[in-house]
Amino acid sequence: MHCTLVPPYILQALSRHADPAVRDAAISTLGFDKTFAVNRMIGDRTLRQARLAAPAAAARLHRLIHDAHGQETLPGELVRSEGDAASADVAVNEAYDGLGDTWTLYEDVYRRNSIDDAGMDLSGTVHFSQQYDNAYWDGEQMVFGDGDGVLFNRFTISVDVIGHELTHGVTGATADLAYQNQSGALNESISDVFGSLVKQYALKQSAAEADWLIGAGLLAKGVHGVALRSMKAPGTAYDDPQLGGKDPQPAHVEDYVRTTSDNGGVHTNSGIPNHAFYLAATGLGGNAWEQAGHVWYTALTGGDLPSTATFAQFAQLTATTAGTLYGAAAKTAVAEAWSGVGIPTT
Amino acid sequence: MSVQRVIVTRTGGFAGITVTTEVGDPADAQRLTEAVRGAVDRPPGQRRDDFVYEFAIVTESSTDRVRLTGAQLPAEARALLAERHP
Repeated sequence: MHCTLVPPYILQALSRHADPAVRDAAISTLGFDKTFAVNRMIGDRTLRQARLAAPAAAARLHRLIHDAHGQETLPGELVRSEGDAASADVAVNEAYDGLGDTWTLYEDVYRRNSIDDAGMDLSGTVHFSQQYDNAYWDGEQMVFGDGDGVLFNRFTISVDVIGHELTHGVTGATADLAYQNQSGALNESISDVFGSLVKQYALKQSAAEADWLIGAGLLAKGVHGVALRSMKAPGTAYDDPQLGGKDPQPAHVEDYVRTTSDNGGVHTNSGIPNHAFYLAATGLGGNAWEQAGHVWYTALTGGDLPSTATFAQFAQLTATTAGTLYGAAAKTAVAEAWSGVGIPTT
Repeated sequence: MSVQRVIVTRTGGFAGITVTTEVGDPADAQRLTEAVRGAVDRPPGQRRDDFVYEFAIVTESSTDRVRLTGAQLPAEARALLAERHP
């Protein structure tokens, strides 16, 4: 645990001070390369609000890619830092490039300076554990397994996976949606939304052109499926007994899955808000990262989204936000999108 | 009460796929039970997309259920489960 006598939010403000000596001292004290991690903001609304109120920092991209060498000690050996030449290891390069693509979307489109909006280092570890079929965000960094090669390929293979994990950091630093039941499914959905937008922005695909798949390329050869999730058509991404059968995601609130597994089905019920975003983006037209993305981003980061938000609360907030940002027609389009998944807005 | 078997269900993870396995050898089941029960007070962590493990510990007279996050899962349990690929 990192502790200082000066509150971190003050150090954060000082880290953007005009005087270089003050700025450098604050940055040094923060040990900016990880100590002001987002996990300090989780559950600390005061800290998050202080972050919201702080003046903007200069854009800063600083990636750190580590190699766990099949072990589980984090962060592992530092193998590529910002500006270093490409590695011979494809997973290292995919993580580096994917973090860059994610940072670029947030900076270019939403003017967000890294996860914490203060230039936080983007740290990722590849080759975590053995045959590890997962990627996760631990509050400080992203962690990627190599997959088992039977069901899953390496988890860096799909840029939307990287965008998904980094967005968990953004959510933790902003609305801090509780990771269970509907708020947990919203947390997951928002990671899928921005994970998909990272890919769409990198490929310069319009909402109509995008595949709206999460984890395309992740399923190993021989597994019957195209991805892990489909925002366009939840429930259709795979159908294979090796994966337990058919993709279980619902596209409509009538099919909401009530379960105690997976923190209340957060990776299942996220299909409902995922599909609402798809409907909103295609309804609004053009590039999804523009109007639809701005509406979702503003709803997430604007300070009005409670950590225990329900689907209905988020729907209402996004519809209102659409009206505020883009007018009545946009509000109607977002409201119709939510109506399409069975969640009316007033 | 001696443990007869442990049924392990893993949910969550980025993929959100459910995997179930059974540790049927009583000696392994006992070791797994001790490892799991010893880990329940560990901090669950703040990981997103972490696995969630549910252990159904079956004895002659009862079935107890213990839930752990991936952050809580002890190395010994991980090793035992890795052999069975959940």
